[in-house]
Amino acid sequence: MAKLRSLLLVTLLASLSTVIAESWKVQDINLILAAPGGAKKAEHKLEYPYAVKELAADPSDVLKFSFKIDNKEKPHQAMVVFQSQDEFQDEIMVAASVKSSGKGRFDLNFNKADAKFRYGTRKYSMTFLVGGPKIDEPYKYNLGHIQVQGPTSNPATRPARLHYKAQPEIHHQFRPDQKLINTAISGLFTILVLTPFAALFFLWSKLGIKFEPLQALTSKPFDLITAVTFFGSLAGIEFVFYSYWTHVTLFPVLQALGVLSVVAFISGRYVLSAVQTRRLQRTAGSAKKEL
Amino acid sequence: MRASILLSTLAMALVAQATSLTGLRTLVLLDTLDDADAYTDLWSDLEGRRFNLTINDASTPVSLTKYDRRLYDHLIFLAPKMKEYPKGMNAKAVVGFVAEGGNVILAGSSDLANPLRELSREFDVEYDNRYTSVLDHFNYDKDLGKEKHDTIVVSPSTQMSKIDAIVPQEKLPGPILFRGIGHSANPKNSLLTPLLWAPQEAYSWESVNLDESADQDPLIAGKDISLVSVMQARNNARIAFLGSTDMLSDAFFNAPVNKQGDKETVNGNRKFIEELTKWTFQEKSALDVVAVQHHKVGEAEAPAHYRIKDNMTYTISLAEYHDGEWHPFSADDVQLELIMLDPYVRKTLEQVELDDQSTVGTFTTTLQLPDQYGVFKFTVNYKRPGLTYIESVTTVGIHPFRHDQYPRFISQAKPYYTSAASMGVGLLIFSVVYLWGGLDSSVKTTKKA
Repeated sequence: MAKLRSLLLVTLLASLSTVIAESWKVQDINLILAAPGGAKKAEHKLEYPYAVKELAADPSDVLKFSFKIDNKEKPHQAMVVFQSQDEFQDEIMVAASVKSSGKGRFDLNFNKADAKFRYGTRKYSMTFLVGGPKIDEPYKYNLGHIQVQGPTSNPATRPARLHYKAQPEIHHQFRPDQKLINTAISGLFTILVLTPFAALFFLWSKLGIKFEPLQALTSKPFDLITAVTFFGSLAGIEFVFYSYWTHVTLFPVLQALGVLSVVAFISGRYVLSAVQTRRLQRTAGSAKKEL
Repeated sequence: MRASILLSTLAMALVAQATSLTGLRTLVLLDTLDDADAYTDLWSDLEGRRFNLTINDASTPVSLTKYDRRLYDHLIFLAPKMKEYPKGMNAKAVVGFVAEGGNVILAGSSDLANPLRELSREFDVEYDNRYTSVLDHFNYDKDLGKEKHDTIVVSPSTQMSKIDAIVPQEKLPGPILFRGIGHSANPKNSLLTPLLWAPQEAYSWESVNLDESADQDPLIAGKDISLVSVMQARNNARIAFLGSTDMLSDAFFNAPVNKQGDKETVNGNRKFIEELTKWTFQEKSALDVVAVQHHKVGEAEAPAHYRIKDNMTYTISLAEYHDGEWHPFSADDVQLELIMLDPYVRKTLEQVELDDQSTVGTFTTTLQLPDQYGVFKFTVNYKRPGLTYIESVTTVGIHPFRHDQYPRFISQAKPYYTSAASMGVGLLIFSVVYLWGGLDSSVKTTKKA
């Protein structure tokens, strides 16, 4: 508590002492914007706290700044800091040389000045700073704004660091599926492929097929068995071919075919001999007829 | 795969006894051993975090490596006036020390001599000339900087970089006091980041004799004066460059801030140095890849190779080290890239929900592999300010379709299928008609000759 009170007293005394101590007395502040030939584009006699608003400079222009300091101490810092009014807020500090009489000035040629002026056309705020070690309270005067054109040829590029952050997503474009013809066309041709069957059935009907031996089969069991076996083995061979076409590999197919072909051969002989007997009966019958 | 995660978490638990991931052996170099009395608070802070401090002065011979192994894990230079390295050390040895993973804190002052200036140049940090200081007549401390306005008050809200991984601004109780030399960090170097810089009105000028005014443009002024810069090398070793040995001293840790024109406050030096040393000595903001898994959707193990257009699930687990332990890492911008010379796919990974038992943060995604075959790299390249660089690369081969992996049947080939099938069906129909159709048994009338 006592420490706090003594701290407060010290602060009070310090604040009083700054009122008694000196501060910087700056006068005759002149701001001149001169074209390369020497012609004055703008001239301002500034008095605190008036700030210059409209000032536009080309890269080849010269900004002449002068002032007078009335204190007996020379300031250590008598500088104008230009701060760009974009998102980068670059700062350029330009020093004025102060003579023993207290008069100080600087000439700023934007082309020959810091490279930051050449990053592009930007607006800068100008702040005049005066300070020195012997006087506690410094002097700050916001002079206003100036727009400096960037150079038309070879502008300086601002150095930049790499900023790692999430990058845009990349979605792979897959190759489109192979273009195939319309399924309707393949449907049409499927029907075309099946038309010979229609022709076959038509012609067969013309011949007058009656399936008479089929009915006769039911009475002769041996013929029935051989007929069924033969037809079954043929259908089996077809089925083996189908399964080979879809998913079976060669060797099981060869085994199945070996079995089925033997069965088909043997049963086929019996079936064909039955056909032959029917044929012979027919020729014998017709021969009988002729006789 | 689960076994490997368990083993790595066990390994991490064992390491968690130490607070710094690199190690605890710290070498401190001072100008003279008497200077050690000025930094007692710093020693107690470091020893409280279990560091073994070896405090030497510049005349004691010391060696940083023995038999190609580092003898120390961290190096603190508090000897700006050092005219020569101690015997057994030189700039090349210090750079080699960093290349081996050692962390360095280099503090200068207005009396900074050549050896440390040239060492900093190796890291793209250029200190101003000898006997210059950072001067600021607008932001100086009235007690410590009364004479020369060289003790400046830096406000963390405007003059500190907003990287929470290094020094989080909300933890600092007040502004930072600084008295020393300024440096400039190369603005093109992406590994180097200025952490603390001078206020707008500050400039760097010769400070032995302030009677002569500064009548030329200062070399560095305002924001360009970096007061503290940090660098994280590509092997994740961290180096901090400070311009002031005083900002680490007891006098500054305990001094109140009496800025010209402001009320008196406490300073944030002690907390700033604590957070800075925690970051530099790998006690926080250190990431590690715990496990990487990838497999086809529906399987559990990674296949020997993938096939184009496969659906694949990729999972990566990341952990973050702070407060002496590994914690699950959370982020929303971890990305996976599939690269074969150029990235073909880039996708942001989603984080699996954390629960109480999580020790790692798991990020996962499912995507379809591109239809370009070749040798791809699944990379997670995660580099963020203040965190260690994560580059996880898994090389896999992506094969084209095998001859039997194409579509087997096409609906447009129906005519061909039908014609082949019709042959078989026709054979059966024909055999029935021929064998039992009665064409050969019906009596025919022969033609009259």
